[in-house]
Amino acid sequence: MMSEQKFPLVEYHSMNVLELLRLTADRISDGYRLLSHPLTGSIRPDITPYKSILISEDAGVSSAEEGRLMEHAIEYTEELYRQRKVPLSELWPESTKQDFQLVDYSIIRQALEVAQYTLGSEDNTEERNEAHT
Amino acid sequence: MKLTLNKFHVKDIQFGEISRYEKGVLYISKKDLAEYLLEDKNISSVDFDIARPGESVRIVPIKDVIQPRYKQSGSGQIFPGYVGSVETVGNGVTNVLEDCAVVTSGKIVAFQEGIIDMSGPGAEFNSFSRMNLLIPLIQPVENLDKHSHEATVRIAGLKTAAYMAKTTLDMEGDEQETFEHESILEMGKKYPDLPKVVYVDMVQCQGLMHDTYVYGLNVKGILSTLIDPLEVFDGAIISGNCAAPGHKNATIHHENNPIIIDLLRRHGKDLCFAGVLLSNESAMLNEKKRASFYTSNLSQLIGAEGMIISEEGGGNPETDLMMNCRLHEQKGIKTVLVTDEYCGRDGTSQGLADVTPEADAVVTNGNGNQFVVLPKMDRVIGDIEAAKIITGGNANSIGEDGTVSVEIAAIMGSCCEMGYEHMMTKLR
Repeated sequence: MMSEQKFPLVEYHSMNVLELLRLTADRISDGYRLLSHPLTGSIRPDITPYKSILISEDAGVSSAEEGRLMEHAIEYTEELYRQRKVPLSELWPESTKQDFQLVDYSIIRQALEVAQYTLGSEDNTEERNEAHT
Repeated sequence: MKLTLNKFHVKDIQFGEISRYEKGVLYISKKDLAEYLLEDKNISSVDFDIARPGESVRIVPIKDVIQPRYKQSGSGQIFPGYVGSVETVGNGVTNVLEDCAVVTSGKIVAFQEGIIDMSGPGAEFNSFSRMNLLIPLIQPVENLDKHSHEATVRIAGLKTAAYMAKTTLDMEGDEQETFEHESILEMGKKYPDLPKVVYVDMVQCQGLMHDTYVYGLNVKGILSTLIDPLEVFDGAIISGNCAAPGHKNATIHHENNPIIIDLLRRHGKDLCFAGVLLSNESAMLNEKKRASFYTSNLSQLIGAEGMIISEEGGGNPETDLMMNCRLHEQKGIKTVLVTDEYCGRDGTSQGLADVTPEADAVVTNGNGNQFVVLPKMDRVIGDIEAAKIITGGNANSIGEDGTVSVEIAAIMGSCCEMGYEHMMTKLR
């Protein structure tokens, strides 16, 4: 759902949330700023097939605090993924996946609203949305 | 402010011709209550079910649990912004139905979740299994969008709870408990030598199924604010959060917030309960920082010396929890954190998504990853198919023998991060 919106800078990655967190951590260490928390919402990262994370458009000086946050999020998620051979996020039927997309979209939409970004005209955010297919 | 809770211990709920409360039995007229709820044009039909302690009944999926309350006197009415107008509540007399709750069930999204078992091993994980429960089964009109559906079920639950407690109007309850709370300046004069303790209630506000309402207002984007603890008892805080059943704060948890109750009971004795601060849990890092800084500013303005901070949910809220902890400790305010954990089936893994060295006093309310096998129940209220896809469940959750295998994170309120239940972690 996120990738269908008219955001100017959306990257879509077909991977699970753990892989997306690792990819995001690399960007953060390259100096991109982490704008939204990597573990938004209450649906666990081993359960939801979709996660959107907001980072800055441009890279600058990397933030140790944001790097540490990514590290903790990855450790936490790795542990949840260790619980099962196949993470729950890969077991959902198509109809259920739509609802996960809706909740992910609602969270990012509200986050942008609270942060006073106008939807459709962000010039300093980058969306990265992940999905299992 | 002074508020008396006039408590009625409900022994049973039965359907009857006329809604009334008599000798511990609550009779509900389905017809009258349905008419009241159908005033909402988003509802196409509504039916009701009853679940009692010890019955072989499973309720799933659950949206919210609400304790019936209705104000007998004082300003405003219960659940301001929904049942009552937005007038100030928290004073006068409020009738409370104990051992009784409304459970809203309804599939808003396909992965909707939350179990209450009225008997068996699952019943051990929450107090709701020991209550008499009324379950409104709400059918929305066709093509209702998900946000409106969530709001419709949320409001119908609140109206049902108020309707039930209204049957006790002008009656004397089985017991009364009165709470008093002065202004901050007054309590400073009255209890100059007692330690000043503030409670920070972190409330989630991140979108569909992740929101909290205060006096009917979605608290997304608010600056941290002060609320009187007695307002909370009158339903000033409402849950719109129906993700992660094991550790979401349902409306009944807010109405009976055990941290607030304990602090009020000890107020003026061994501590001075200086107030409640609401600190929101946003999805954005900058908002988390703003909320934590602003909350710690308010704590300092109030003159807090000690602080209890509870979180709602897990994962990102731990960043708010730890940031609140660090900023308060840096200002010389001692903190105690209240949380739960996800630390693997054997409980040996790191259970929090964020930590800080200043967090040296943390109370946990259980391990959401604990695994449990729930036996088949004779009757299911709601939708048993939901058990296949709830938190901690999977496509094989329902065995051929009807058992359900899940993590306790799937059980409503099992690891409540306000300490409403009795779970804890023992160090071995």
